[in-house]
Amino acid sequence: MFRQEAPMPILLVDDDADCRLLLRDAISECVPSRIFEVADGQSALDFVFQRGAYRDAPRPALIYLDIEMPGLSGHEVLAQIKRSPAHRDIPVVMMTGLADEEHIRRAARNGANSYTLKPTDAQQLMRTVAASTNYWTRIHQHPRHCCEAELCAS
Amino acid sequence: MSFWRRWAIPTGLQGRLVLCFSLLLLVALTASFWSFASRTADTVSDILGEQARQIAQTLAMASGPACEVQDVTQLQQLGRELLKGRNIVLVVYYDAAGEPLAVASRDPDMSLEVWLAGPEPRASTPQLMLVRRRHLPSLGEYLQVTAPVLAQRQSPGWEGLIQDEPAAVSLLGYLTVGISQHNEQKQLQRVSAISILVGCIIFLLSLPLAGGMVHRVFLPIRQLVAAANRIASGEYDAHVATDRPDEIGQLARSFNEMVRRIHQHQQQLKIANEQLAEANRDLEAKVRQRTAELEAANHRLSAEIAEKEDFLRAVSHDLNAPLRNISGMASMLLLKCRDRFDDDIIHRLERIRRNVEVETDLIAELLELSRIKTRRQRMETVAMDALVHDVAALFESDLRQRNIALKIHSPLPDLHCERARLRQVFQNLIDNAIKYMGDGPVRRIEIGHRMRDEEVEFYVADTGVGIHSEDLTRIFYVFRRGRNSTVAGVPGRGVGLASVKSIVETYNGRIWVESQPGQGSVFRFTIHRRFVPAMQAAMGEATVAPAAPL
Repeated sequence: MFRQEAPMPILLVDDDADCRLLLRDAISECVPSRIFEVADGQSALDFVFQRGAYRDAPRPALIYLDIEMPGLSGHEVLAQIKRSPAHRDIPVVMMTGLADEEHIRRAARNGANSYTLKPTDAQQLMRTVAASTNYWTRIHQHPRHCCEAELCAS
Repeated sequence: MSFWRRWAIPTGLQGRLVLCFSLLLLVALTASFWSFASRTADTVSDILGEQARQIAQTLAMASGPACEVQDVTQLQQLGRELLKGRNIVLVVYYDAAGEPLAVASRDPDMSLEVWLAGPEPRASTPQLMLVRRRHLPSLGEYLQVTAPVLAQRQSPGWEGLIQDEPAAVSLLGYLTVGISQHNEQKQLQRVSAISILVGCIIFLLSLPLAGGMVHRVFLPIRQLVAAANRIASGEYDAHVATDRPDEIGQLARSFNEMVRRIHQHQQQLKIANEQLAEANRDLEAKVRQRTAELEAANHRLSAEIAEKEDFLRAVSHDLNAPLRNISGMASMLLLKCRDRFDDDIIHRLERIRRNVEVETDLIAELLELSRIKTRRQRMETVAMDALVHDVAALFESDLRQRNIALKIHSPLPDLHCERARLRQVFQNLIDNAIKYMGDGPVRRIEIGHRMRDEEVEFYVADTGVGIHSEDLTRIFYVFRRGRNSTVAGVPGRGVGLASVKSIVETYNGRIWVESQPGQGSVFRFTIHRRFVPAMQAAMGEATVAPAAPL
């Protein structure tokens, strides 16, 4: 679907602009990508389902989703995306500032593809982001592989 | 059959009494009639004997002349005459030597020859005037008397009387007379029969009389029995007549009194029961009320705890997010623009980042501290020995680097606890012991325990810098580090021991430290025995529950 060198659309969902800035820095350091940012859960859903202001938004190849947000929380956004048959293939990486077991369990139940703590160290952040971004984008480019991986996962 | 069974062995007291009474009456009647009959028979035979003797004497006197001449024919004639008398059945004459001369009898076959063949053919002086009872088949039973026949002279006259000479008599022969008792015996038998009849009638008449009397005696007893039965079935108004002056009357009075008391007790019991039930209801209502209050309080408390949790989480999240960004920005600058900055800027950026890290860790620890009491983890039986060895293994490189010997006095007991929390306790204490070891020549940490009555006490002893006496209690409060900590230049935020204290307190334990500056420290903490399976089994206690999370 995408050429290897084509910049991938990646969606960042976080209410914290500084956090988005850091993530954008980290992602742009490791993969060629077009990064879209939204600040709340509702906008994120609109973007993914191409509604309202985001009618012409591209389908993201990867979503970074913060859990603690005002309004719709990351869990609810994740659940809605994973309930939609057309969008459940989009890999979602959950992010949180707290290592809370309850959050982790809930994210896993809702079908999160990864769960990552927001690191305070830029180097660590870049390593984490590079790892997950590379992994999920590569799988995304090979749908067959992806299906097998999902089968294995289930 | 049933009739006989019913009457042969009377089971009731009344029946037995009637039977005894009848038997006694029967025995008394029989005895009296028997004695009466035998007395009568004796008297009759005495009278008859006397009569026989008189008859014999009279006959002997009358037969004197005939005997004197020994005229057998005349004697026989005389005998036959005599047989016409009502009772006389036999007349025998003897001569003076006792030889029978003539026999006259109502039995036509009786003759001198027959008499001579009989049991007493001759008369003799010793037999005189003795009345004997004899029996001959032909004559039946009769009384036999032998009298002397005497020759009587003329009276010797007055002189003789005056001289008091005995009259001169001579024995002419003997006379034996048999006198039948037949009529008298018949009479006697009739009298006996009549008296037996009368006895029977008296006996038969007395039976219902005895029955009636016994019945009368037993009537109040039966009334008592009936009343007792009614009381047994719950009718306490049952009463028996008490107007009799005798023992039965007393019994009835006692009985009525007893019934009254029982009834009274029953009433009291009933009232007490009702009061008890009432009290019970009150109590239940109170318990319900208290339970509701407690539930409300509990609910309020859980709500407060949940609120506190939310608050803490929000605070820590909101505190964390900007810190993370500060740190992220600083490190991103360092990463991207390192070659554009001089060393001073790089150093300051590093300082920013380090400070933020400390702050982030502190927030994480505070959050954990607040969770110790509000969030209980799974309780399980944990082998302390293995756990402490595990923790010690974590510090192996530190211990080696700082040249510290760690000695664990095995075996440590098992605990029923949250594994991670107890791990945290030992981790903190060992960590502290290593941190505050100082530079002394003896570098040792010892871990052990001892069992006490109500608890098990663990200790972690070190040979480190020790603690100032003013700090012995302070150090267990959050953010209050001992003054040595700064001297020793040890990193720390003053949360570790506060966490340990919190954890120990959830196990109903205490923690304290014994120390002097320069003398090392001994941290001791206790765990209540209900969390120690070994002690619990010994004490037979059943409940294993952590203290309520408040």
